[in-house]
Amino acid sequence: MAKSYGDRHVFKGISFHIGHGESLAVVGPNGSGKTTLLKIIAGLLPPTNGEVYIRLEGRPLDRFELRRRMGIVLSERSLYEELTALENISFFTKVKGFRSSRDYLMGVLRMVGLEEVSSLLVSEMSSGMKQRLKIAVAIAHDPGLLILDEPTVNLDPEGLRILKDIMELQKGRGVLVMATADPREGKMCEHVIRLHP
Amino acid sequence: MSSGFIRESAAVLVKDIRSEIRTRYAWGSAILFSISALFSIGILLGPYSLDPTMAASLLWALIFFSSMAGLSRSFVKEEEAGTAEILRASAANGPLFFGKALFSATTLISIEIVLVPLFLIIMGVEVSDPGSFLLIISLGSAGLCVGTTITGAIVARTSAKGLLFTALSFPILVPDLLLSMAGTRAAIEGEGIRGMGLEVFALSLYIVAIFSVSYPLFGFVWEG
Repeated sequence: MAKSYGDRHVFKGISFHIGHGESLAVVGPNGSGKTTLLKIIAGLLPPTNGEVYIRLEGRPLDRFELRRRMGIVLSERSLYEELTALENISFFTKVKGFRSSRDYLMGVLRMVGLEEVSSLLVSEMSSGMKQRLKIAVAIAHDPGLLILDEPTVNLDPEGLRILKDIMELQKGRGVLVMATADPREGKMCEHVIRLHP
Repeated sequence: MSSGFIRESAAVLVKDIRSEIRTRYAWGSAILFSISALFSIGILLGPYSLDPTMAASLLWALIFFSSMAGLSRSFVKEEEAGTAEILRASAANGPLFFGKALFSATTLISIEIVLVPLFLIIMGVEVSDPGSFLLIISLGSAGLCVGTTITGAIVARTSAKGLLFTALSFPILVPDLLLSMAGTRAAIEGEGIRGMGLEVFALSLYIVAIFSVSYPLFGFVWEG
């Protein structure tokens, strides 16, 4: 794959394959194209050259099915500030086509340590709590593909421990792709792609 | 239309209504605009009474400009709040378009509930056929909602959103506005459903046509 904007190459010559139960870390400094690569995998950006094939049980997934099967944590703001934690997670689960009970969603919030603040507006939450909620939203529908863009940002030690548990869980049930600027975090995954600006 | 499609559309609608109630992002500005415009015109007209053609035209001009103040906000807000990307990654285009169009309808209804009765009282307009009047207002509003949903999605990623929204919406909505004005005049004069049959038929056709074009186009507009 390659991606460029006009004459500026973000990256080129990238090719990789990840199987079920495997994980990939995209490591590189700011501006190296990590987020761009993740968005291409997620179907949010088209590559300039090349293609992404995502298969489930041997058959390719189209964009619409990919949305249902994928969970994503974006680095930018991606929560509704005027809704509560529970309303956010409930909305995203519903628009992906899943029916989940309140108890189930509360269980997901409990997993990331947000059960006690489920009725708090996102605008009233700390940055770390918002990051935990983004992770909860991404995993609430048991995604086959979990994409995490700089997931450790703003997390305290407890949040980091929760994230590691979730990443381990994901490796057991599907595919994990994460982007990070920290090479040490990249070691949490079996495969690593290094990008350079 | 499957039950899943309806549930997903409803989720978008409920989210937008909940968000609107807490922020008063679209409804507040649109309703305030419509009331202030109506009172300004009422004061300017003073003791003069409006004939049915003038009343119908003025009513739809007010509805159009009030809706311009509120209906663009649905998609614009997603872009401004930074939630558009995660919405693209989560929601299917069909239910999203439908949910947003329903939210536009809710916004327009909330404007009209305030604007239309106030207009009739302040302008001293007597409607001879209230049933036909309601029918034509509903059809004209449905056309406005579908037309502005697609233009709202088009302008959301641009810089001059407000200006572009009105500039793009107006030519698309001209047939809707002209037919609605003619139908409203007929309803005020009490010509009955037979007297406005052509307008009702043409408006229904317009809604089907604009929906048939907007719905498949939405995916290209939204995903860019």
